[in-house]
Amino acid sequence: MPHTTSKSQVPVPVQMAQNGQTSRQPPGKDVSPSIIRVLVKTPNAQEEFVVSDDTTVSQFKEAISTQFKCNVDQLVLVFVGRILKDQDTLYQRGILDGYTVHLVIKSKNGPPPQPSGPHGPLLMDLGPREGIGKVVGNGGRQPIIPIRNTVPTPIPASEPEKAKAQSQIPQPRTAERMAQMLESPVIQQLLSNTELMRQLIMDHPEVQQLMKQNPEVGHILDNSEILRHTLDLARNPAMMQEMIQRPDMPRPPEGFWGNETNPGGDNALGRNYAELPDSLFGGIQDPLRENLFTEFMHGASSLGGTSHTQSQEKQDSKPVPRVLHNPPPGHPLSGPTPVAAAMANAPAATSKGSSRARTSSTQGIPPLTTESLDHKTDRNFPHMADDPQLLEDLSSGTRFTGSMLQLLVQNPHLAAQMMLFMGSPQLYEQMRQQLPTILQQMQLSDLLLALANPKASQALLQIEQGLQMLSTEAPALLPWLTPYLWGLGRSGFPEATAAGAQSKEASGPQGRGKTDTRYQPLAILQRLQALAGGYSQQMQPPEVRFRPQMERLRAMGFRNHNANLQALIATEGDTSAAVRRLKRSQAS
Amino acid sequence: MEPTNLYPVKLYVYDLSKGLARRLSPIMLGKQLEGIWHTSIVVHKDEFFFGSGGISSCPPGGTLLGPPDTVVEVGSTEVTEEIFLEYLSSLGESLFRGEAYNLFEHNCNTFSNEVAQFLTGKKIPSYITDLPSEVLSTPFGQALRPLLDSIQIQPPGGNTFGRPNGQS
Repeated sequence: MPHTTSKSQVPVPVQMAQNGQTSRQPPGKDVSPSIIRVLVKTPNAQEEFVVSDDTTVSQFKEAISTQFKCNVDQLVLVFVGRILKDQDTLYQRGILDGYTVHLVIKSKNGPPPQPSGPHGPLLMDLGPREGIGKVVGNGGRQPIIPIRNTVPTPIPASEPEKAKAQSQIPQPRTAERMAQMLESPVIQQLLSNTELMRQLIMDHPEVQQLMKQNPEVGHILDNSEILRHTLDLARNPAMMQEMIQRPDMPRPPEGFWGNETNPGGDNALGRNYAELPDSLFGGIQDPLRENLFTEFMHGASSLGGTSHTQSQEKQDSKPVPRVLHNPPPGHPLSGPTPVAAAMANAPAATSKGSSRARTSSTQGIPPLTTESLDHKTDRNFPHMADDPQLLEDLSSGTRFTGSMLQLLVQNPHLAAQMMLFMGSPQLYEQMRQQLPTILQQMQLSDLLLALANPKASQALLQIEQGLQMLSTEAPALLPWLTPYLWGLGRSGFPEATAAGAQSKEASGPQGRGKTDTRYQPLAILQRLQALAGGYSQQMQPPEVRFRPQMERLRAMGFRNHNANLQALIATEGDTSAAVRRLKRSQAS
Repeated sequence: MEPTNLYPVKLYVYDLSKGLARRLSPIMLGKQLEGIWHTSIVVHKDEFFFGSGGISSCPPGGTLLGPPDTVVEVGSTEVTEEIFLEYLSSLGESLFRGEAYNLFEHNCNTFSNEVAQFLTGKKIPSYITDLPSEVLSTPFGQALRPLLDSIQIQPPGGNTFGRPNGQS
C-alpha cells in the first residue's frame, strides 16, 4: 500500500503514485513507479525517506535539504561509491527499497581547510614531513610551519597568520614539494642558523613543557652541533619514524644523537642509563602489571638525570653507547655498568650497540675482527658517529625492537601472558619450544644481546674467534664439536659462556654460526627471568650460585660437571627440572 | 555520459600481533585466530585509520606498523578527495571521536567498515569484523574483557585529522 504520508515532503511523486500509472513513467521502465524506503545516512545521523523510485535525484535532494536544513548545493549523495547526479532517478541508480544512500553535507565554508582550523590540512600534508615537525616532539610542527610558508620573509611572524596564509595555498601531495623546499638554499640557510632554530624551538609551549620535564633537553638544544645533526636525522624518514614512535614519553630523542656527537653530553645519558635497570626490574617483577612494558620504556624515558653512583663509572667510560658498538671483545668493562648501559640502550629506542653486536656475533668473524681492531686501537668518537653502518644498524635495530616493544605496550595482555608463562615452568617449557622461532621473527635478539652480560658476550666473541681459527686450521675438529654444541646449546648462551670461561671448548660451540640466532631468543626470556630474579645474583658465576644443586646432581649420578651446570643454568637452579633436562640430553 | 573519475579504494590489513596470534591463540584462547587485525582505508593516496586518537591519516604504509600484511581491493569510488575529507571530518566529530574508541565495539575495523561502505557500498571482509566477537566467545576473552576493554590502540605515524589543534 503506498503511503499517503511520508516523512519527507515529496508531494509530487507520491501523488503520482497514488494516482496510479500516469504519464510520469521514465523511458525504459515497464512497471509502475513504486514506493521505496530509502535510508539517508550522514556521519551524524540518518533519516528514512519514503519516496517513489522514479524520483529524480534533484527532487530527492530537495526533500533532504528540507529535512536536514541545508541548501541543496551542499548535498552530496553517494550510493555504492557513486555520486548521484541530479538528473538521474533513484531507480536508474539502482536504489531499491531498504537501501542506504550516504549523504555528505558540505559545510558552508567549503572543505575542511578552514581558517578556524588551519592545522587540519597542514597536519594531513605533514604526513611525509613528519620528520621535520617531530624533530622537537609533538608540538614541533608549528614552528616549522612558518618556515615552510615564509621562505622569502623573515621568520618571527605570528603563527596563526602564517597558518592562515598556508591554508589558502593549495596543498597537494607535497612530499616532493617539501623536499624541494628543504633543498632551497634559503631554507638550508635558515635551518643552519642554529640560533634561529633554537629560538623557534624554545618558543613553542610544548617544547617548554618538555624542557621542564627534562632538563637535558635544554642542554641539548644549546648545542648547535646537535641541532644540525638532528636536522640531518629529520631527512631520514625511517629514522624519524623510530624517533617519534613514543610521543607520549618525555624523552628527548634528539638528545641521544646529540650526546653521541658531543663528548661532554654523554654524561646526561650516562646518568640516565643507571635509572633504567631499576625501573626495568620494578616493571618485570610485577608480572600482572598491565603496562609492563610501558613501565619498561618509561624507565628508559625517565632521563631525569638524577645522579647515580654507577654513573661515575659510566662517565669514565664515555662511549657508553659506543662500547656496545664494538662488542666488547677486547675491553674488560666493569660488570654492571655496561650491562645497565646495554639494557638502557636497547629499550631507549636505539639498540645501536645491540644490533651492532648482534650483527657481529651472528654474521661471523669478519666484522668482528675489524671492529675489535678498531676498538683496540682507538676509540674515536667522531669515527664511530660517522660510521654509516652504525646508523644503518641503528635504524633497523631500533625499528624492530621499538616496534616489538610498542606492540607489547599496546597489547599488554600479550605481555601479561608472556609473564604468566614464564611463571609457570611447564607452560614455560612449552612456550620455549615455540618461542625461538617466533622471537626470531620478531627480532627480539636485539633485546637479548642488549641485556646480555658483557663479559659473556665478550667471551662469546672470543669463542667465535677461536672457532673461526679452528675452522680454518683444523676443520676436521668441527664435526666433533657439533654434537657437543647441540647438547649444550639449550641453555642461555651468554650465561653459559660466562660459566664456560673456565672451559672454553665446552661453551665455545655455543656461540657458533647459526645456532646463535636460534638460541638468542631463548636466552631473552631467560635473561628477563634472570633480571627479574635479581641483577646482582646474575653477576655471580653460576657455579657459585648453583653449588648446592650441583652437589645434588653429582650425588644423583650425573657426573658431567659442565652438562650439569648448563642444565642448572637453563632451569635457573631448579634441580628437578635440571635432572629432566640432563636425562633428555642423555637419551638424545 | 561524462567520464567520471574512479578512485581505487583499498583496505590495508595489519596483524598487530605479527604472527603471535596465529601461534598462541590455540593455547590461549582455545580457538585458532589468524591474527589481530588492524585495518585502514587507503584512498586518494592516503591511508586513513581510526585509533584512540581519533581519525588519523598518513601516507600509505606510513604508520609504525610498516607495510600491511594484506591488501584487499574494496572497489572504487567516485567520491572525490574533497568530499571525502568533508565526510571524514564530520565522522571525526560525531561517530569517530577519539574518546569513542573501544577495542571491541568501536575500533579501527568499525571505522574501516563504515568508510568502505560509504566509498564503495561494500563491507570489509567479515573475518576482520568478527574478531571481537570471536575473542569474546572464549572464556579467556570473557575473563580478560575488563582488561582488554581498556586497551586503546593508536598506531603511531599518523596525523590526527580534523581537530583544530591537530593534537589527539
